[in-house]
Amino acid sequence: MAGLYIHIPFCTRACPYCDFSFELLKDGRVDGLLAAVEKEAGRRGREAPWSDHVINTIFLGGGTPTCLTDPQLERVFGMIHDRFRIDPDAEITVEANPETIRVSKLQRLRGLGVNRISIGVQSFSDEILRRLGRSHTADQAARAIAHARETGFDHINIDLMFGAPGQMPSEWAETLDHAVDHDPDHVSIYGLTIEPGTEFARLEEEGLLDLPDDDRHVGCYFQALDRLTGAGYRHYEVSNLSKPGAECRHNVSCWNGGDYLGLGPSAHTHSGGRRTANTRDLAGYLTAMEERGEAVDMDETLSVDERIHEYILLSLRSIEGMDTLAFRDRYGDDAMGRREPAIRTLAAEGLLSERGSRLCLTRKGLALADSVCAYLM
Amino acid sequence: MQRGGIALFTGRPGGTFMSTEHIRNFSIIAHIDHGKSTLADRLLEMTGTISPLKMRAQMLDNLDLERERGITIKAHAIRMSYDSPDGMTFALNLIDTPGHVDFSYEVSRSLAACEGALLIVDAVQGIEAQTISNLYLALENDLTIIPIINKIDLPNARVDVVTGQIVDLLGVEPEDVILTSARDGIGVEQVLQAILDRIPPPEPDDGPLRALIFDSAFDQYRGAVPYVRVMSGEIRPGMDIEMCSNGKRFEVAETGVLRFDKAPVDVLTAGEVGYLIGNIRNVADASVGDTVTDAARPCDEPLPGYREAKSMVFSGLYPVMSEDYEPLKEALEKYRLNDAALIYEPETSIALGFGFRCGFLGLLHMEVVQERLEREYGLTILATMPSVEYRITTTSGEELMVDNPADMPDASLIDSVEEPFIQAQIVVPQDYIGNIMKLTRDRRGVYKAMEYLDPTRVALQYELPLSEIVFDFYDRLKSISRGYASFDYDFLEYRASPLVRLNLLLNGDLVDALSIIIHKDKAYEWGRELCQRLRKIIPRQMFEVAVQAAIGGRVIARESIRPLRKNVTAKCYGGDVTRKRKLLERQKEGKRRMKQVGNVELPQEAFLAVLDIRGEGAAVGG
Repeated sequence: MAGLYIHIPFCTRACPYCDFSFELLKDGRVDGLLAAVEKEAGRRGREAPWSDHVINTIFLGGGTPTCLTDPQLERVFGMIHDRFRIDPDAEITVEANPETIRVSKLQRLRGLGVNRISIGVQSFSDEILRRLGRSHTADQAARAIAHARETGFDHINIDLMFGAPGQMPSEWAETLDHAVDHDPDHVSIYGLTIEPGTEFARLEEEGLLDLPDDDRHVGCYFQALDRLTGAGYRHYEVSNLSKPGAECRHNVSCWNGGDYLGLGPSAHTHSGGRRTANTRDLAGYLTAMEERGEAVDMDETLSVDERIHEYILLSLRSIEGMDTLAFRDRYGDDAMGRREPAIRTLAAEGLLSERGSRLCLTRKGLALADSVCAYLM
Repeated sequence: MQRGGIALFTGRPGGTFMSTEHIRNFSIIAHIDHGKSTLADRLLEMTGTISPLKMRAQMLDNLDLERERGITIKAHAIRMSYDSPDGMTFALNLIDTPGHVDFSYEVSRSLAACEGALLIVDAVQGIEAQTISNLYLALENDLTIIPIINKIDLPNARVDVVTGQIVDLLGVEPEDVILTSARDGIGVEQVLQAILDRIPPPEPDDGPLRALIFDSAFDQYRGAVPYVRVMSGEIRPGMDIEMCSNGKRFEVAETGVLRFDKAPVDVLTAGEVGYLIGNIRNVADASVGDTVTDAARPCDEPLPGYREAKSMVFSGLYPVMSEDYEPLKEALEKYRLNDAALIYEPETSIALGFGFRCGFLGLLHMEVVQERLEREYGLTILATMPSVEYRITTTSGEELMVDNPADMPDASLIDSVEEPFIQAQIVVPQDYIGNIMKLTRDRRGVYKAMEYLDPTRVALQYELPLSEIVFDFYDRLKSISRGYASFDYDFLEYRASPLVRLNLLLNGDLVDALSIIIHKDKAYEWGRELCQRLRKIIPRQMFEVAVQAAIGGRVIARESIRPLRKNVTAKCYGGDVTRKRKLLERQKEGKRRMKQVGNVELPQEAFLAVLDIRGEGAAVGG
């Protein structure tokens, strides 16, 4: 079993905080990308290990995959089914932005087998959406969720963002209330991170972004956890909550070290301790596909230490935590023993808790997940 | 440039040069930048010892660092041949002296090898502190002094005033003072003539061999090469010699005189200056100040004045990266071959790991060693706060010498603590007397005397604890006098002082490298300042960090560093685990460069910050 990720890098406009690989949508560019992705899929689908795998999760991410036309989406799914063996019960997710969601498109996606939709809501406050530079309104977001439900999507995720410029706890509380009212089965909550090279980074440099301080930022995070868990969601990863059983199988598999194949610019692939990634930008990707028939520009086989580091960071981000018995089993008693003083320190400082053989981030530890993981590496 | 009377060197390699009548041995003493090296260059040129074309400016200072700082760290010597206008050939041995008080013992030994000294005073600056201290050393050695005012070509030269200073200081007649511009070659010939006329030739003495070692070099193939002044008897290849300080014997393989290269000669007789080679593997067996004698016919008594190099200032040197420990050790070993005054031994610090406790002659020596280790061996070194050596008497009557605060016993076990005091000379324009007095008072100085060198400049004498000048005193002095003050010092004696050990604790764990021994009246301010600085320097961590300064069990200052609240990246997007892992590995690597004290990560800067605590106005010395 393996996952399949396809990166559709097009957006109708740029978000000022986003540093993912994206391109503005223009005529003709999509077809060029799809031709290249088809070529990549054709090649990978014939190669081990992907030729032997049954694909049980598919994730169409971006960018904004839903800005593709219906025929283009059909072409994507046609290619997927042509080139890979797909598990009939596969989880198939498509990311969408509210302004691109029409009932007809949702119906078409359903028809193509898509059974999960992940909507970039971010906020139910028009003011915050404006500050985040989003091109949709709170109303459009609400309608998008309603349409998804009407068209038969049982699995709906909404992305929410906190820590936006000028955000007040009261606004955030309202957004959370709206989210709960819409009753999606999955919610991802992300703190706004200022990434180098983005418009927000420039504004912050100039002192023009009124960002909440760390205490307020973390306060919003805990506020979200409390509100959502109170409404029946289970917190299962640092940034993710779901109704029981509605966890995103694609992501959980990634985090558990499962294999996945990524197609398209900047897409990452993992197979048994070897990680590769495609060229990030669209032009580079297209040229590479044209000239070499593949676009890998990062290829690493993990050393034991690197595997351990991944294991720590991925497992600790899950709320179940890191199974120390499994860790010992995989990496040896020494690797565990070396970390015990650090574990004791973190536990004494209330950042880690030990539940049986499992090490879990405490609530305080969740807000410092990166520091804690680095400390244990 | 006038070149009459100059003879190119017509060496006679094999033979003795001439009778002692035609030898002059002299040094040049001057304050930094008063023109010693330039005058030396001119003398070398005018005697044809080296042609101006080949002359690398300021030939005698051949270490880069010396060139940059305009100071001579290690003494050198060179022999010039000069045909006087009346047709006689003289051998002029110029014995260079290190230009800083840290090396006053070396200076005194160089001077002891001479009969005369050129005293150079800058026509603009006038007499400075160092001029006075070096002059005293020269007078102690009964040297004939030839006073020279240099840089008379400068528009703001004050020849009359400076002449007055010299006349007062030396009790000479104004016409005895030679006016030069070494840069332009003015007056240099008069200097040469004065060397011949005024400096007495060495006395012949055919008693048992006594040769004074005034310097040494290390040659990787031939071992330590002592530079000697033969006071009596003679040295020849094949002789067995004995070092008076330790009785070690060596067979002389070669003797020679010092030109730009070593020039072998058959014999060095009384009055001559030269080198000897004798397979001396250990630099410690060629110590400055030691007497070389004939093993077969030893002298009754060695030459006076020998003492072992004494460290005055101590500091721990640690590699910034722990894997540089071995390279640092090798660098110190190599360095010491050329500088026997550096002493070191391994030391371990809880906070800094493995390093070396090093002893230096003084502040400049310490700086020079650190800089050269970094520059010449490509190491990055962390130096702990400099310390002096304290004499501690315990309640059980035992006497301990402690140069590392970490070694100071618990207060309850101490009966008394004594610290080294120095005698300081400060020369400054009178306008700054008030500032100097304030600074020296803040540094626990005891005023002794003040003397006007001329109507505008004074020489102040103070007794100061050495510990109060080991960091930034000189910089402060310069800054409060707009660069005009000059400073020099000499060890005086040990005196009892109410000193305490001040510890720094992070979350209760001792940071040994930040402990200091300090006067009890200054402990509070120091502790407060140190805690505040560290609060700013130590990055926020996952937990609260308490920064405390304590004397024994008593906390006297405290700051706390609030814990980090947030450090979490949103998600591993599109399966990009690599980026995230590398991000965290970089965080981890950043931490690895920090020093771990208990659960606190301490950046290198924390150890440096403490060094400039006094540098800022609000601090103790302000």
